[in-house]
Amino acid sequence: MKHWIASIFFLASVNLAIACGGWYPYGEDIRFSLIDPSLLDDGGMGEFYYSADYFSDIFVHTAYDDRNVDDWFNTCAGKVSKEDVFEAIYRLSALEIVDKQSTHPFVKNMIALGKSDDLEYLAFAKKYSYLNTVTSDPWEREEDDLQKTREVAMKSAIKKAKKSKNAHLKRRYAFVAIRFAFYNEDFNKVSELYADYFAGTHELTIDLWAHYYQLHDESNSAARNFAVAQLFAKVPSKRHGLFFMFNREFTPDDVLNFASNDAEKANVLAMYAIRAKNRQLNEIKQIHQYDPNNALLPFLLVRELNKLEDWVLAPTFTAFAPVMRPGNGDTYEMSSATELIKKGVIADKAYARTFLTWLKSIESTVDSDLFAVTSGLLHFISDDARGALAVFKRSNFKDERLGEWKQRMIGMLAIAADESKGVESLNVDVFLKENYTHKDRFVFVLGRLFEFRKDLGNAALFYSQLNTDDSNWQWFAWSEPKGRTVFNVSFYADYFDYFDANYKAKDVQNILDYAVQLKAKNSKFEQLSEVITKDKMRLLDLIGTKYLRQNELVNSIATLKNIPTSYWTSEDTHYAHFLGANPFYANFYSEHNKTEGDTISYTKLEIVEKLHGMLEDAKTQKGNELAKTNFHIANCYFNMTTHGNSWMMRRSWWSTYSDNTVYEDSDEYNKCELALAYYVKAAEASTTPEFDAVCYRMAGRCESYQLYFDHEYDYNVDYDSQGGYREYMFNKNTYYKRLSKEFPQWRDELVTNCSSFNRFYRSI
Amino acid sequence: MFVAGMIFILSGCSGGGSRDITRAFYYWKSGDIRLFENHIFEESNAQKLYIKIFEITLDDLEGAIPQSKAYTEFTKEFLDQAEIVPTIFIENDVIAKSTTEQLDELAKNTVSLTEKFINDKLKANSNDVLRCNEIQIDCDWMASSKDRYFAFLKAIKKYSDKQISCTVRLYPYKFTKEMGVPPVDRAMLLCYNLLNPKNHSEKNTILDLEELKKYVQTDGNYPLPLDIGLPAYSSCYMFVNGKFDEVRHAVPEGLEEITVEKTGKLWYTVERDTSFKYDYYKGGQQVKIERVSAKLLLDATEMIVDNIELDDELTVAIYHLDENELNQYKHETLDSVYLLFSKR
Repeated sequence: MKHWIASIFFLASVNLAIACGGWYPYGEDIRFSLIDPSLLDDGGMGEFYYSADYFSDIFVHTAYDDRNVDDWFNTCAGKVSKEDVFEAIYRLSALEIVDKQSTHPFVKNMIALGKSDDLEYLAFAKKYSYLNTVTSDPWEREEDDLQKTREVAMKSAIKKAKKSKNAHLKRRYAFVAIRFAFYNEDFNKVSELYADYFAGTHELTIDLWAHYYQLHDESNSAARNFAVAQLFAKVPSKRHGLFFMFNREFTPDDVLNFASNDAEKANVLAMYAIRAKNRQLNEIKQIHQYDPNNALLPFLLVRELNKLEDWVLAPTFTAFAPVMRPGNGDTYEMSSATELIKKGVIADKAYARTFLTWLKSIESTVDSDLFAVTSGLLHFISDDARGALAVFKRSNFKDERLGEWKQRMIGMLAIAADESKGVESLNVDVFLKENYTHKDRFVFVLGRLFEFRKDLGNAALFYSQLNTDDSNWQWFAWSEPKGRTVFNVSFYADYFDYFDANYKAKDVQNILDYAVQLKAKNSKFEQLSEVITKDKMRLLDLIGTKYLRQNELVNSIATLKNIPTSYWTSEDTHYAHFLGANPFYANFYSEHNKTEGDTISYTKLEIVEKLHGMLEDAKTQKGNELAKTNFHIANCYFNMTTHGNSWMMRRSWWSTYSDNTVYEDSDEYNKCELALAYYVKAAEASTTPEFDAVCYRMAGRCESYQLYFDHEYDYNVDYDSQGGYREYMFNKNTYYKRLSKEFPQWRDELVTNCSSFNRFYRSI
Repeated sequence: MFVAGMIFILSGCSGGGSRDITRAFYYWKSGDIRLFENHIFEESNAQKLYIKIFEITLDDLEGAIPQSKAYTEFTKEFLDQAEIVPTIFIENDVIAKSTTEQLDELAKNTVSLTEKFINDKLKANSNDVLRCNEIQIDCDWMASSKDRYFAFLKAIKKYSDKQISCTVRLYPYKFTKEMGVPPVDRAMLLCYNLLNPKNHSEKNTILDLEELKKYVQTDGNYPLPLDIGLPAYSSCYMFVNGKFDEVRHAVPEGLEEITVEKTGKLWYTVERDTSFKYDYYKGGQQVKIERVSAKLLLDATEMIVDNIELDDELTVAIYHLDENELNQYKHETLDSVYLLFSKR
């Protein structure tokens, strides 16, 4: 029946993984953002987006952001699509490229244009492309062979470069030779070839790539930093390598000395700003002053915006500390850290206003989509939802994806600005549609905004939409500043747990009623109200349970009566299996194991009804009859704690760890306070000494749980000199002391003889 | 003030001749040695450099593979003054999950790649002479993996013509019965990293004298010739939402000064947004700072000299040659460490 207590158990299908500690929201899981930077970037800076991960998105070439594709597109006179060019230069094999019967548009067209030499070059480059790797064997056992092959291939490429009459092909072969030399770590050769074929040439993409390889031969100097910065702005595909080549130990002034114009200066300053985690507005202003068209400027503006989302919106909405500004939640003086974060939010809002003022002053030089997104969000971040709303209402995004994003921003901001009171005027579908970036963030913010307005009905509707996809193990989570939640973790990922922890029975009832009414009122809210209306029985169970936790048995019964009997026997709830013990029976050692009292079981409603009935009976009883009733009441209260067989009367989960939680009956659940009180009442009513003794023994058991819960093992106390830890705790127990004092003749039997219970219990 | 303290320490040493100390550093970075690091090496009269050339880890597809390979190239000038000891870190997991046959193959690969470093990769010019007499293996082995680890060490010895040494943490040093004695020519006793930072949030896990004392006092002498490794580095543990986020080394001087209050021993809360060189600290951030002060380093040295039976000749290596760590120590401090060992 109840041989089921593992380390933790859940009644319903709630977030098992969370409470088991298998998952903790962290880093990118909790970084708060409403704008995906890739909506404002071609992907060329994807790796450097503001992120808790070291690198954000990996840059993936496509036919439309690869400048080498553009070069080959021009070579074939723009006669085929860029997709065909992309496929030909990166996917086709060497044999397919030189196939004169080829049907591939690119190959066919090149043959038609009489550019067989170019195709031969492509075939040559593809044939030896396997050599373009640092090593194929991590132990470098075959490295010597590879080096020799590269040497041969390099010489062959140089020969072809020399022989070629076509200037582009000459450099392409030379580039292939440079790459072989690079992977052979023959940097002198790289520089020699670069000087012979490329110096100063920046026409083709391979010219820039060749320069990238050549820079590896230059000493680590401010001059090389300068060259790296210039190349970084122009070559997206080499940014990863260039980022690591840039030595930030040289000061910007050291590097700026090499710039001959303002555009070059802007590129240098941008290199220092791309990964900076702190405020960079002054640097961005300087870059803009040098070159309003700087290639990295849009990226830097969005990155700065993402920082402010992390610094301001995260603490405001999810109550998590900013990912890049840690602090909250530590066990060490959490309050002081929280205060500092609050101060930081105020300062960062002021910073957002400064950012916005400057941005407006340069509006004419900024892309209109970028300006609208950045300025709108800055208004919102700096507590001006109306201003943000106005920006988005008048914006006309060129990008379709941004157009849809705008719809969500307008809906959300209308709530934030108090222009929309409820969900009636909200275009719910744009929030609930599948698979858009940051869906969970948008849905959560809406819920939170309603909650801020104390509109719990609507708040719950949106929270209930979070983490509904069971196949997605990465949940959206939010924290709460008190550091305690319903489980033994400090965050929420489920609306049910959140309202269980933070709101009263009446609030939950209102939430349920609102969802049911909304669904009946308008079918457009079907999806929004679906989770809560489906959870109706669970919620009624919760409401009844919450009343029970408050010891309001009449209200609890009234609520639980609305639940059909089938609920208690349903496979989904597990009650039938786990609420199968007799809650009115307990002995000295009974916890979760089967006992002789388990000849009868009750539903949750029946237990509360019977308990209530006993409490009513006790009002008119006297003597041993009252003593027995109080004893059974005490048993029931005991069994409804974490230590008893009916813990699920108060909780939907159970853990071997006794934790303080936010539940109002946290002490009762862990320390058996009501049970103790009724065992004492039973003793007071009893006229039989043996029964008095068994009542004190049971009261002592309850007090023992209190003592262990309140006094953890203290390594600074010398328990050994006091007979050991268990003896020490035993001696602190007032009811065990009373037992020893008033019934010394039975003390040992009651404390040490596990079969003595029945003799004493049956004494009346 | 400091010099007076140092003289006091040195005068406290009893007489009785001197030991021949080879002064050494560990180099645990993969790039080239910088000017200031070269200067410290020279100024310390160091003669030996232990350089981590790669780490061996387990890859799902390729099995045991080398990673984090050094791309350090020593100049002729540096090679003229320093003997190089290529050091290979191997994860215990690799040992624990490999068969004896696989470990034999791994030893063969390890020696082959190490030879490549000695003969080629570590030299800026192929004609330069690199003096190398020893290869060191660094592994935090467990009692359960000792037999396999020792088999691996024997195989290394089989395939290499160099002297083989290995690092020994204080636990296996003290508990030889449980942890065994590795089959190598020499052992480098690492007198730091005594505690797990996750389990000892209130203690300095790099070096703690109380902890050190527990280990250096043993019942008998260690059955291998010992060299000694000592720490001269710092760590800053960063926390996000109460969870460990990252550890930063070379903690900048003055970091404590931007904190608002000490929230526990070694614990601080950053008061205001501050950038130190490339690292950024945000107001409200919780950090735990661990440093090895000059006093702590010298006290630890004294404790080691007083308690561990050392040979007439040994190497004393400081971990590690990093300008951002060592610029926080005076030359006299490092010199005193070596000098304390030379006095009997």
